Amino acid sequence: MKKNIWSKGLYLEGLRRLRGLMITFSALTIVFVVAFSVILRIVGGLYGRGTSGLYLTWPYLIFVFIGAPAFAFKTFSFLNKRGSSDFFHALPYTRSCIFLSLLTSLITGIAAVTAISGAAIFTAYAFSGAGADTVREVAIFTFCSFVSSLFTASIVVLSSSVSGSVFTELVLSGVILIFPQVITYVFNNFVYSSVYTASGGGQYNLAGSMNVPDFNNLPLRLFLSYVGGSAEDMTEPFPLIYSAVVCVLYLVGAYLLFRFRKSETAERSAPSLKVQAVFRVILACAFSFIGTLELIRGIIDGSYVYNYLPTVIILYTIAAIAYFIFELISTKGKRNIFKALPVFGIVIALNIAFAGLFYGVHSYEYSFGTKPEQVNSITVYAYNSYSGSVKSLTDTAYCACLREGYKINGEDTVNDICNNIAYANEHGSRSSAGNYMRFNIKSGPMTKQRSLNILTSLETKIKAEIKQSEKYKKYLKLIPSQIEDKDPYEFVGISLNEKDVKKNAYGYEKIEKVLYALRAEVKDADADEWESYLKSNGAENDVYVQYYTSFGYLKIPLSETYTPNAYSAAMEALEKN
Amino acid sequence: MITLKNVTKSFDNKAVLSDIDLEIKNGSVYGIAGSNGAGKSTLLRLIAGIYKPDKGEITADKAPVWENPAVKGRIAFVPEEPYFPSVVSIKSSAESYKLLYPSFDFDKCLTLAMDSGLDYRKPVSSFSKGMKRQAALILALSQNADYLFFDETFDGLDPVMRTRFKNLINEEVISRGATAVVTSHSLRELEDVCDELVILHNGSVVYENAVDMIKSSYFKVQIAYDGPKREEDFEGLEILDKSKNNSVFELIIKGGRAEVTEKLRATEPALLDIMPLSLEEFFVYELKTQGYTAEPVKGGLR
Amino acid sequence: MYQIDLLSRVPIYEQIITQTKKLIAAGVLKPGEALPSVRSLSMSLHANPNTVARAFTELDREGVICTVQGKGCFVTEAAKQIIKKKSKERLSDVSALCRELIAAGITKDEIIAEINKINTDAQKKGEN
Repeated sequence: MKKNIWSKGLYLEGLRRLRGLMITFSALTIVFVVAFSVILRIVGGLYGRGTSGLYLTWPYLIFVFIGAPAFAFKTFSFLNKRGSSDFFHALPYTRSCIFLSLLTSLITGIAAVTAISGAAIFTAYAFSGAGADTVREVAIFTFCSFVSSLFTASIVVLSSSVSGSVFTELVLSGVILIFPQVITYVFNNFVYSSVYTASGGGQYNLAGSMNVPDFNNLPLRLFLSYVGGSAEDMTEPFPLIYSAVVCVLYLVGAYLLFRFRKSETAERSAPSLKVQAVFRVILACAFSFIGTLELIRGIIDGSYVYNYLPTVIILYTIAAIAYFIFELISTKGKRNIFKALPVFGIVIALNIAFAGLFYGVHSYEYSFGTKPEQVNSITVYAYNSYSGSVKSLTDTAYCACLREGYKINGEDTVNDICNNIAYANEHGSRSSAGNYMRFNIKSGPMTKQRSLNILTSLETKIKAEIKQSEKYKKYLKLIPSQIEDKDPYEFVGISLNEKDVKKNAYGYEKIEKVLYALRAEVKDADADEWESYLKSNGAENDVYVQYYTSFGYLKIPLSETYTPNAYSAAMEALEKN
Repeated sequence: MITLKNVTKSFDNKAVLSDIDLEIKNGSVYGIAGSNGAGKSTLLRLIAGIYKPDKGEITADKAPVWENPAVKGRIAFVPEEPYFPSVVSIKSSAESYKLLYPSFDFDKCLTLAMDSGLDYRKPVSSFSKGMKRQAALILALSQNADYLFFDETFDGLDPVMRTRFKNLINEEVISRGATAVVTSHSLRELEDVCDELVILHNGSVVYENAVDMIKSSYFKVQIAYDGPKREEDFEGLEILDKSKNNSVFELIIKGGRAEVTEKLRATEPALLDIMPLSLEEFFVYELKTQGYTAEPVKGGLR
Repeated sequence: MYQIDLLSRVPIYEQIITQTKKLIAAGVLKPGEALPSVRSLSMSLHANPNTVARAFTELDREGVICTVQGKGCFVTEAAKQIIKKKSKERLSDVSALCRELIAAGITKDEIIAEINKINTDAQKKGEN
């Protein structure tokens, strides 16, 4: 059984074929690392890292985008020549065995070069006496580079499996590497940029979840990280998992295509005329889809025609040229251009369908959360940058509720929120004066986030509802500790007496004593009574416990009558000073 | 024995081979001849398990060839354009073969190369066309395969090289009972190599028989009479082709030599000349009956 | 020993048969003597081994040679007789030829003289 899916001989032959490339790329890395180390040592100061990531890991980028694809290309290049294709297909192995054996050679080759490069880079950094952070960063980059290399290699393997010519293989590889990512990015971006309430806060993913990076494609992230970003970006787990999964899917696809590939495809662009048509259509769609997105967004947004039309025309022209030039080059026949003409209708049809898809998704997003009858629930959040006028603990408790998220119960409030979102989507912001709020709206199976500046009247309604809640009362009576912790108050200091607000002016223990007393006294107090006490601001001798939080500051008045223990503890601290 | 049953193969919906039925007996040397584009190479690639037939089945000793490593391990295929897994040298290629073919005999390969005067350490790219083919042949023969397939391997070789090739293949046939299949677009390349002949035309098997059978059962006859010729004189003879030059008839007759001679003599001809048909002539006549002719067609040469 | 024209119109196996018979008739191959093996003949003539084998089979069938499994082919004692008998059948060829010659205007005496010449040549050879 084992003999049918893997052969040591084929595996070794695969490695034999990669030997030259392996030596070349390993040597290149070592030469680069040594030369660059010497230069950096002479120049000095720049040794560790520059603005563009770790200097010495640059060979990884070259390997990901040139080395690994070249390895994959070399491994499966036999499919592109009739002689070599016949030779391999005449071998006494099943298709599965040929593919899997050569794939393992390819992976071994990539792993070997990555390992050698990694060793060289680590050694160089070890000599420079780099810190643990640098070592960690190099390790992350090494791992990401390995996964990225497999990713780019898998794309080449996939296009090798389906084509029989170098030109078509290169075109397909390029399209597969770049366009799915670019088109989904543009699609996503356009949908959300034309839905006002969705576009406000950071990037969103179609799934409605936040914090999913824009570029999940690891090689592209690696590229962006070298060219302009920071190495830290690479620690995101999602792109790594995403890329690994996509890589595996590409390889599974390649395996199936290889297994059922017609061996006579060698030296031909595609195994059949139909598949050749599919290639053309994919290539044309890669360019025209972006044009279509631009066009339909322009129409939806009601932009001036001359704002978007030139881009659209350019992209459509590129698509048409690519379509016919590809046919001309890959089949080397002028007559084929005319034969290819009817299928161009499919490109147009697909673009119309794509425009429809975009319009559908846009409409869904546009109307999401605008119809109260379709909304299951709304949870309101304050933004991190919430900077309302928080002057007392009552506001702070309100903010704490918003930061944790408060589920709106009032039907009237829900209606109001939905109307606000609908209005904002249509007209842009409703109020620039109101506070910026975020709503997690559950409608059907989807939960999506919307955000906008809300009218003061709506905020009053929300505030009124929140003040009735148990959560509000809980936060109201919560006397935070003075040490920074996970407490939603995030306070940074404490002072007694408004006149002296320096941090830790009275010593940690004394203030803790005041807080301890205060907590005990508030614990049993009636929430409404406590709130009205806070509002009365009836401090005696201007004694306050004062917090500085990320929202602003807050002060809790201390009085001999309402909080006698805390008051006396505070007085004690003040006197002794 | 390799058996093809109703084998059909098309490229881009154009049938290259249609409904081929063929049996290739073990221990013989088969020649597959046919005009250009008759499907010879395709047929060879099908029985080598390189192409998958669209329809029908191909078996070697009753086991299917397609995706069957056990059978494919017994097949050696030499394409028209020699391919070497490594261009560095024959030895390097042999190392690849050793990895890929469990039955490959490394020492035999080097010995054969030395005997043929090929330097197995030299780059294959420095070889002449004939030397390259010879190197490919040696590598294939060192597989010790039971089935040897050669695609136009003999075409255009010089006489010395031809003889060497023939002997190498004959040696395999004698010593191990190997079966060889050789294609060519020219019968002249096949007639001294093969003992069985298959003629392909337009994707079908037009003729299949032993080479000697052709030579001993088809004759070219020149016959002339003093008096007027009587049509019934040729009755009972299988005449494939008949033409008349002045008073001399040229006939292509199928039948045993003794029988044909006797019957023709009985007609008391003034001139009688009986010659076995050369394979080339046979090929032309056979294809002529299939509508493929060497005569100029209206407007020019085909 | 054998002279074969591989590209002749005459089938190769027929050429081998004819020449073997000639060699036996001329006494080059004597009864009991071994014929060259299929392998060596095939190699030296560069002929297809199956063709050579077929010629041997035909000779065996005619009784000119006998095949001993694993040892090879040997000329039989009766070989010469058989060849002679077979050759008699070919006398009719001579008559056909003579008729042709006469038709061309060659006299009977001329033909006989020619035959006598062959006879004396053969006798001379025998004396030597």
